[in-house]
Amino acid sequence: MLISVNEQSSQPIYLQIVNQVRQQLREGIIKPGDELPSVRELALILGVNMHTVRSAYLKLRDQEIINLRLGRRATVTRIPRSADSKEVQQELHSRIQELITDGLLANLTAANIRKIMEEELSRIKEE
Amino acid sequence: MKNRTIHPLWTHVPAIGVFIYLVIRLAIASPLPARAALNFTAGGRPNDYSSPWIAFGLALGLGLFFILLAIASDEIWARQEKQKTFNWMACFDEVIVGFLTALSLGYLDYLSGNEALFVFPWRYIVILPAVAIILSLLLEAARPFRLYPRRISSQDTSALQQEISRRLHSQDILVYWESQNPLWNTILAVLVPILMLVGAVLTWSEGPWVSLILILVGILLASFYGGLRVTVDRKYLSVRLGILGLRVLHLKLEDISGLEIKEFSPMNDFGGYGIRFNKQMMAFYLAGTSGLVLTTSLGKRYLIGSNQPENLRIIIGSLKQ
Repeated sequence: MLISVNEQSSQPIYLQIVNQVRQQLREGIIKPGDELPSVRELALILGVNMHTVRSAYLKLRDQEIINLRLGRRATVTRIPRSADSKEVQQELHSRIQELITDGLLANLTAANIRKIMEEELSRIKEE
Repeated sequence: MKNRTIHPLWTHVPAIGVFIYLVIRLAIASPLPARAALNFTAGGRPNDYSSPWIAFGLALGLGLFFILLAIASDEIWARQEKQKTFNWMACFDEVIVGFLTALSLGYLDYLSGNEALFVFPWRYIVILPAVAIILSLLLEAARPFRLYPRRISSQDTSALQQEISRRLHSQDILVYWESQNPLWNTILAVLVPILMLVGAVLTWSEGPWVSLILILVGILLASFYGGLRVTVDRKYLSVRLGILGLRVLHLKLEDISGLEIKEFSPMNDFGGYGIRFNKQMMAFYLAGTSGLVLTTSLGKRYLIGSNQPENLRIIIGSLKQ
């Protein structure tokens, strides 16, 4: 697992960790069954607070990307869900709603937000 | 034939034969007395009495355990062979089973002969294991070599290379982490200490020293929980072991002059798993047969076991630059 953290970024560190784990899972760098470092270990090697790492792991667990068990390291357990699953679409709607709200609160126009989303989609597709 | 063993089971016939002989002798000698001398002084005088089946049960149980252990360990040896090598450890089940059987036969003679003193059965002890060992070594010499078909999986490292090239030139904190934490390590670090703790409690009344030793060994084994972890950041490579994260290797990336992916045989090349040495290098692995050999500028060589050695090579190579 490759993790990088930018302390100067406006994105919270826990979200940086979550997004990197998701991205690496998508790219095949980490695979279902792979272990992740423990909360304490990752916090130590990144030099961040344990609660930050714990927040990241809890978010990943809520998204069913990792499995958290008492006394054992987190393991990646992403089971691909059908693209037509209503549950997946509802979740996506709710997260995009959150992003759009953040964009609008930051005084971005709808056109700007649309452009950013299309740019990101193209970039990911190219990869 | 998916689950066919590579190491032929007929090489264990001497140990199995001795075991079956013990079972037959016990069946013929039955019924045994309900209560008999079980413990003896150095002079052979009985000083404790109980059911003789405690002794015979222990001999049978341990005998079966060591036969199964030998089958498993010989199979591991055979699967790691790239050419036929003589496995001297192939006869250890014959040694154990032969000794236990000889001792049991001597005890059986004592019970059936109504002797006053137990005489140590030297004749059985010398002849039975010796015959079993010689047969075992002959069978090991006759064992055919079978190459274990390994699944060679090629690693697609393009995604990782892209990721690292994106992040390399930023000022971000950058860390690569991987682990080796096989199931047997977890069993060794959890189950065995529990058994030792139970043993310590049961033997406490006999004297606290045995219990203390069991507890200390149990704590030592439990410290291995968590396996081996490799961490690479912009400056250092570290290998940590166990629940305490004991740092067993710490190298500056700038001191690493060579990187080489290596396939190895844990049993043949290093005689086991864990932190190992041979004439060429020091090795750190708990599973698998592949790893990355690091050569330092001082000429020291270290083998880091990895399930993805190509990833590790790319990370270290990129961060060194």
